[in-house]
Amino acid sequence: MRAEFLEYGYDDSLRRLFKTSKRALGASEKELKAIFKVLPDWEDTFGIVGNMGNTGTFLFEALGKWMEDITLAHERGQKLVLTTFCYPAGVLRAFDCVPLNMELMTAFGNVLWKRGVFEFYDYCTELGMTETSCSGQRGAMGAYLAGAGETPDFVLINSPGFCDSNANSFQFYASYKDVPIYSHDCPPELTGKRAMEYHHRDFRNMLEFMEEQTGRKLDWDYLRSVMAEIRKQDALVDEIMTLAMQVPNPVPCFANVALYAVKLAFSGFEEATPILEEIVRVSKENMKNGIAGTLSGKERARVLPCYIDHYSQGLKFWNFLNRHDISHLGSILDFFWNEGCPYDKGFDEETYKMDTESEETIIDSLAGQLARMPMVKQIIGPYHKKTQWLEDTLSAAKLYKADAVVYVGTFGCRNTWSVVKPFAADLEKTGCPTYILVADAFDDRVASWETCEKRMLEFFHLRGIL
Amino acid sequence: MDAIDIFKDIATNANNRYVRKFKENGGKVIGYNCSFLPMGEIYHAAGMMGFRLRANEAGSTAIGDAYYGAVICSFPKSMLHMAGEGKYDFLDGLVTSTGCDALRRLYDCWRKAAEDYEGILPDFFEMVGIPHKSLDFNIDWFVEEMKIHIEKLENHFNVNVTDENLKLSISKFNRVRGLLKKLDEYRIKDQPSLSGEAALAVHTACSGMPVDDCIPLLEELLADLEKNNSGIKGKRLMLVGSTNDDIQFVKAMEDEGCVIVADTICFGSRFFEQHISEDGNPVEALAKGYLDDVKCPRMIGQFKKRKAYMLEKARRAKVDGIILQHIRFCDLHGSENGVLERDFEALGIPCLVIERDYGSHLETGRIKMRADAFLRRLKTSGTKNNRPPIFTEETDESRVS
Amino acid sequence: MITAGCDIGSLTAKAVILNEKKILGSHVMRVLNNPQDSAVKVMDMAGEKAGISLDDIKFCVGTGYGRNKIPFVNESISEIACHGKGAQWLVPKVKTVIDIGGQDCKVAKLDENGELLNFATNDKCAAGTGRFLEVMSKLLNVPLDDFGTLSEASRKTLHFSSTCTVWVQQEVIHLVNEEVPVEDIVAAINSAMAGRIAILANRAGVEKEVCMTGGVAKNDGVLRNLEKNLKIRIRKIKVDPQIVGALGAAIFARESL
Repeated sequence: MRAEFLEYGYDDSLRRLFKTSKRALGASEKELKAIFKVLPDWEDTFGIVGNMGNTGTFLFEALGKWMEDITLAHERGQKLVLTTFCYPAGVLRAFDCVPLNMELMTAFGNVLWKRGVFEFYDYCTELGMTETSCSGQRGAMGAYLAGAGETPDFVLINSPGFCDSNANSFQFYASYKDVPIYSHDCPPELTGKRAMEYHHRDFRNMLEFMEEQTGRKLDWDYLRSVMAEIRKQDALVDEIMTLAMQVPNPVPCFANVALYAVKLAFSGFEEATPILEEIVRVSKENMKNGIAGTLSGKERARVLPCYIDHYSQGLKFWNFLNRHDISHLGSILDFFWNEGCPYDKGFDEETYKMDTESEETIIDSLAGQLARMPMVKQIIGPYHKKTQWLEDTLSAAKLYKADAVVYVGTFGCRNTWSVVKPFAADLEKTGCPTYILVADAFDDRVASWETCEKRMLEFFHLRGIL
Repeated sequence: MDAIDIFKDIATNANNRYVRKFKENGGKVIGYNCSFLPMGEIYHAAGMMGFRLRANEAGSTAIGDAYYGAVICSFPKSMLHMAGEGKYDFLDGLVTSTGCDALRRLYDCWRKAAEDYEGILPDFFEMVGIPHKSLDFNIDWFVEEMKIHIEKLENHFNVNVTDENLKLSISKFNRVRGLLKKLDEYRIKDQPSLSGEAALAVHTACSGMPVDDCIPLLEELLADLEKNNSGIKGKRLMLVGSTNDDIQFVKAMEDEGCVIVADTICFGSRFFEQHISEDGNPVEALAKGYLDDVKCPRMIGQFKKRKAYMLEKARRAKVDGIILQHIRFCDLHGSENGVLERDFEALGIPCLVIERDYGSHLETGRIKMRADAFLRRLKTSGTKNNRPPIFTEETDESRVS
Repeated sequence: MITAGCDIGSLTAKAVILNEKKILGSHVMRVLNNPQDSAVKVMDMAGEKAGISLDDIKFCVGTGYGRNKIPFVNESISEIACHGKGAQWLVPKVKTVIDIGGQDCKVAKLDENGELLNFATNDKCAAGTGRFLEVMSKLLNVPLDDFGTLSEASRKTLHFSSTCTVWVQQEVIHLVNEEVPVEDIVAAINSAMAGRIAILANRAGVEKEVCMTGGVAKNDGVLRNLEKNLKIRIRKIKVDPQIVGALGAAIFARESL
C-alpha cells in the first residue's frame, strides 16, 4: 500500500489534488506544459475537463470542498456517513452529517492516479472480502478499512433489493469495523400504494436511526431548503437532458459525469448548482454554433451506455469517445426520474415529486426519490416489465436517437450480469446494436482500457456505426 | 430399502417416486426457489405440493451459461440447466423470488430459456418479493405479498386456501420440524449415528416430497436410528456458508475422516429451526415465521445475531472446527466468511475457508485436499483432542455474542 | 533405515528416498494417464537414482491429489502438511511455507516441529497457480524455465489483474499483437502471479523465516516480486522446490517408524 495514503489519508490526498487541479485549470499553456512534464497522465483529463467552459473549475472547487468536509467532519463535530452513490444525500446534510460515497471515491482515485486504487482492492481481499465483490465499493473501502482516511461513524445504504454486492460490501464494513448500519430495503416493484408505503415506513425508521446516531433532531426547515435546491438542480438537469436529444448533441462529452457527480454527491447543495448552469450555458452555445459537444465539435455516432461508464485512469473512456467524435447520451446514472423530466413515459407514478407541504409529503418525496435513484429504479424487478431496464433503455435509445447501446458494468454486478445476455438480445431484436463490454468499469487490471477500446471499435466498425 | 436409502434417492431425484405418485393421483406440484418462501404450507393447504427447486442433477451449467453471464454463481445456472434438460417438466407452476440477485434473475433467464426449450415454463409463473429485513412493516408487506400470491394461486388453479386448511398444513409442517429436531439429536450426540451426508439427504428430500409421505418416512428413520448403536468416529465439524443440496460435497469431506455434526446452510438444517405459530392468522404466522430469520446473509444488518446463532449451534454440537465455504461469486456468504473466520479463530475455533464451484466433480480433489489438511491441523495443533476452549468452558455470553 | 515419499500432483509426480541423514535419490516427472502408473514410474526412477531396491523401503507415505490411488504406500498425508514438514527439515527455523503447485497455491504456518498451525488456500480460479504460468508459457511460446531470467530484462511495468486466467490471456494476446517486448509481458505475468500469492500470504499472516516450495519457486521473477510485495526475504531452499512435498512425506514416513 502506498505509504503516502496511510500517512496523509486517501481523502486528504484527494482534497489536495482537487484544489491543485482547480488552480491548474487557470494555468497558462506554458505552466500546463510544465505540470504535464511532472504529471503526464493528467494531460488527457485536463483536455476533456477543459472543454466545458468553467464547468471543470466549479467541479474541482465543489469536489475539493467536499473532501475538506470529509476530512474536517469530526473536527467540526459532524458525523461521517459511509454510504453508496445512489443514496440521496440531501437528508444527511439535514442531520449535519457528511456523506462519504464509496463508488465516487473509488472512481476519483482510479481516474486521477496511476495504478488507481489497485492496492485497496487487494487489501479488501486480504481482509476476507471476496475478490469477486464489486470494485466500485472495494477500492475506496479498502482505504477506509486500512485506516487511510477519516473514520466513518456509521453506515447508511439503500441497496438491498437491487444490488446484493453493494449491500454486502457495506455489511462487510459494518461487521468488520463493528459500526452501526441502517439499510433501506427496496421491494421488487416501483409504483403503487404498497411500494410507496413500504418506502415511507422505511424512511421513518431511518430518521429514528439518524437521530440516535447523531443525537440531533432532523432540521425540517433546512431539509425544505435542500429540497428547493433539488428542484432547481432537477430543472437544470432536465434542460441538459433535453439538449442532449439534439443532433448533433451539443452537450460536452464529459458533462454527463459532472451531471451525475452533482446529483449523486451534491444533490440539493447550492455550491454545486453553478456546475449544472455552466453545462447548460456551454451546451446552448454549442447548439447555437451548430456543433457537437465533442472536442472536435463533430458527431459521427451517438452512443447510449445502458448501465455505467468506464472509469479508468485519465478518463480514457471519454477520451476515446472524443477521438472518434462519438456523443455520449448519458448512462443510467444520468436518468433521475423527477417529475417533468424529458424522458418520462407519460404515467404519473414513474417519477418522483418534491412536495414540501408537510412532514408526511416530505418523506413521501424523499422516499420516492430514493426508490428512483439511478440503478435502483431500473433493476428491482424482472427486466422486461414496465418501468424496468429494457423499457427505459429502449425508450431512451429512441428518444436520444442512439446508434448503439453499450453495457459497461463491474464484475461484482450480479444483478445485471445475470440478465445482460438476454437483455442485449432483446435490444438487438428491436434493431438496436448492443455491445456487452466484458471488463470491469473500475478495475483496469481485469481488462485494460486498450483491450476494451479495441473490442469496442471492432464492434462499431462491424456494425457500420463508425 | 432402509428409510435413509429412500431419503437419499429422493434427495437426488427431483421427479422422485413420491412426486410421481402425487401427480398420478391428480396432484399439482409447484416449484419455488428460496428457503424464505412458506410455499410448502401454502400449497399443501391448496391440496397441492410445494417443491423446493434444487440443482443436484445438472452435471453441467451449459444451458445456464447461455442466459446467465460469466460471473454468476453456478447454483442457479445448474437449476436452469436441469430445467432446459426437461428435468423440471413435471412442475405445474414455478415461483421465483428475490432471495439473492442470482436467484432473482432465474425468473428472467428461465423465461428466456423457455423461448429456446419448449415446454419448460409452466403457465403459472410468478415472482414473489422477500424483504431483506424483518421489522414490522417488512412483515406487513410480506403478509400482503403472500395474500396476493394465494389469490393468484386460487384463481389460476381454481382452488380454495382456507385459514383452517392453512392451520392444518402449518401443524403438519411443524410436525416435520419436530421430527427433524429429533433427528438432529442423533447427529450431535457424542458418537453421532447420522452422518452429515445422510442428514443433508434427509433435509433435501423433505423439501421435495409431499409432507404426508414425509412424516411416516421420518418416523421410520428415527426408529431405525434408535436401534442403531454404532457411532461415527472423526473430528466433529460444522458446515457454514453457501447453499448446498449436493450430498457428494459433504461426503467428499467426511471421507477424509470427519463428521459434519451441524450446519447452518440452506437445504441443510435451517428449515426445522423455524418456529411457525399455530395460533392467530395463519398467513401472518407464516410470513413472520419465515421472514424473522437471520440465518442467511441476505438479511441485512444481522451479522451479530447470525454469528451468535452459529456459535450457539457449534457449542451444542461440540464441534472441533468450522468449515466456512462459499460458491464462487456468492459474495454474500464469501465476504461474511472472511469476517467469521477472523472472529471464530480469535475465539480459538479453527476454521477452514473454501471457495468452490457448485456441483463440479473436478472439485472433489481440491475439497478433499483442503479437508485433509484441516483435519491434520486439528490433530496436530494446540487443541489436540480437546474441543475449542470456548465450547468446553462455561459459555461466557459476552464472548459469543 | 530407508523411507520414501511419493507426491502425485495434478501436473507432476515426485518421489524422494531418504535414510536417517540425507536424501538418497529423487525424481520429478510429468504425470501419466493415471496416478497408479505415475506413482510406480516415479518411484522406480527415484529408486534407480538412489541405487536401492524398492524392497529396502521400510515405510512410504503418499501425498498430493493422487495420494489415495498410490498402490504401495503405507499411509497418505495431505500435501500441505508434507510441504511444511519438508520445508522445516530444510530450513529448521521456517515458520511460513508458500507452496505453489499446479492447481493450488497454499500458505502454511508451522510450529517448531513443522506441524500445521494454520493454512490458507487459493480460490477457485486457476490464476495464481502453476497452471496459470503454463497457459501463459504456451501462449507466448516461451519455456516456463525462462520466465524468471527473461523478466529481468524488462524495462517497462505493465499491470494485469490476476483474477482470471482467461482474461489475462486476452490481455496477453492484445499485447503480443501490439508488439510489446515479450520480457515486459513475462514480467507483468510474474508480477500478477506474485500479487495474487501475496494477498493469500497476507491473509494467512507471514512470519519469518519464509520458504517457497513447489514448481513456481524456481521462477526468480515471481520470487523477487513476492519479496517486494511482502517486504520480507524468502529463504532459498537447497533442493529442487518441487520435491519438498515428497520429502516431507518421506520424513513423516520416518517418524512413523
